Amino acid sequence: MSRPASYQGVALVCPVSVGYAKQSEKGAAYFIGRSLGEMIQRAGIAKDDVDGLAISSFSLGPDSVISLCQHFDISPRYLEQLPFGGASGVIAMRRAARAVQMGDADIVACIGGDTNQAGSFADLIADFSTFTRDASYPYGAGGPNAAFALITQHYMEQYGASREDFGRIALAQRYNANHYPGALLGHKTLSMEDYLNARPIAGPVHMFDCVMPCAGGEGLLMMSIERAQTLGLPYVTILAADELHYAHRDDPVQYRAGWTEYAADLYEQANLGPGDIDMLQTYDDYPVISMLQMEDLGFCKKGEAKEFVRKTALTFDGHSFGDKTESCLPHNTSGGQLSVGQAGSAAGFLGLVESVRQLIGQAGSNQIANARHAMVSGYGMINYDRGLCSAATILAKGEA
Amino acid sequence: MSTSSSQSLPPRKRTALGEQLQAFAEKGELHLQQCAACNLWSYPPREVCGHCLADELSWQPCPGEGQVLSRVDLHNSFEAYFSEQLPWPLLSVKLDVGPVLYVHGDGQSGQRVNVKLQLDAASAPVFRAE
Repeated sequence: MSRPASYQGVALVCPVSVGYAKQSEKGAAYFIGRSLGEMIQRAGIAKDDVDGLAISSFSLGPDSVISLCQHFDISPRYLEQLPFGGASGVIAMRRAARAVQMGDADIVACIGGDTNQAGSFADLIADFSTFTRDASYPYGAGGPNAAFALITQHYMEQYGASREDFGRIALAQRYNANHYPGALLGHKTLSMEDYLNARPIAGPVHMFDCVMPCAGGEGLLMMSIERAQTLGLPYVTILAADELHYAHRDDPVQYRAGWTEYAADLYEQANLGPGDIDMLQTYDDYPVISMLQMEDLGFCKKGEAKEFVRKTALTFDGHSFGDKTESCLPHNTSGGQLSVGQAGSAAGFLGLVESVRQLIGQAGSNQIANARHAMVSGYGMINYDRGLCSAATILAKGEA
Repeated sequence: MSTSSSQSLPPRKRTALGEQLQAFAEKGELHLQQCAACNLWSYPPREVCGHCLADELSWQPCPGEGQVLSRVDLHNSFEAYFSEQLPWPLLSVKLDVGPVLYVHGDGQSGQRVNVKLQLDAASAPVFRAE
């Protein structure tokens, strides 16, 4: 199989996270529009300099990306809408990078934005796909909780991971969120006792394994490195990126996803190994899925994520919680969805935007020291019994 | 199927294809879609064969033997019918003929079960493991 061509020459700039709230009466266009407004202000460009839009949103309907042109009074020559949930950020980045390389657009705004109105999450899960309507929802398995409970239970039985192991991921992320002002749950600490004693939701899945649906926007601009340099913007480059969907489709229960098929190529193209990665941002809609990514992206072997999270400090500053950790891999450094909140499709941009912020040194009090390389992974779309999407990228701090 | 005195009912909504299970559920006869071109079984209901994409799917009597892949108890639900009766067990079962089904019923992972097609409290078609 052929590999993606190089992403050279493309810059990621101006990461923004906008308007996070547990609920909002505003529409999705608010969160997307404010993200765009904040990005062009930071970039010091005019609105019409943005000639491409790559948008992800669950709650934008009946509008779509073309409707947004009139909402925002812009005339782009490149439009993309990416209904890929937790993988939408990395996928948007891949699409936009090609547009910039090929001249289809000079500056693409990649934005995930969603509102969370009363009852909207229940409406979303009640009719998420034709398969869920026929084969999940009538069984009480509404929304992702039940599907992930079945996956988590199977993983625990297969590989011996414990709730404490999942708790290690949740605790480290909450610690990170305690240092990231944008996190909706960042004002609360989380102890292992809190984690273990939380309200049960489904099987082994308890309250702190589940994300909190919320409203918010995440975005960044993509342009040529030359343009970023001319504008004086600190930037990040793409060393490698790939995606693969509904891989391993004969696995009766999901315990891996498409990452296994391209992780080695990502490292080879980036000329790096897992040990060179300074931060890992996984899609953490349930800690077990972060474990699958740690395994499938080569940070440990299949089934060994439990040992990996016991011996690796996952916090941004190396803090551990009583474990004798041997090394540090900052993971979901703003708190991930588990502690920031899941703003619909914006959650699929969370790790990407946070990585760019970290690599350009604009993270704030959760800043990782001397970060040069980030691995960002996406996963998403529970069409029935598993997440279908996988995507991942290795990013690097741009040359000054 | 349920002995609950609950006023609430399970979700009735299905796709047009999913509704086609109704007639078989009323007779208590397990049927799934099978492709006449490749003989493989499909589930959840599909418009074309998920294996060979032929337009030759039809509902056929299907053996219900299978194995429980995973089992959890739901402690939370957005639907009143389930939330009034928590915890509610949920199984995923791999039928010997291929497809993976979410089903009602009891069982543990690895256990052999027989899957039936029945009507639920809303008189809607559902699978149940016995």
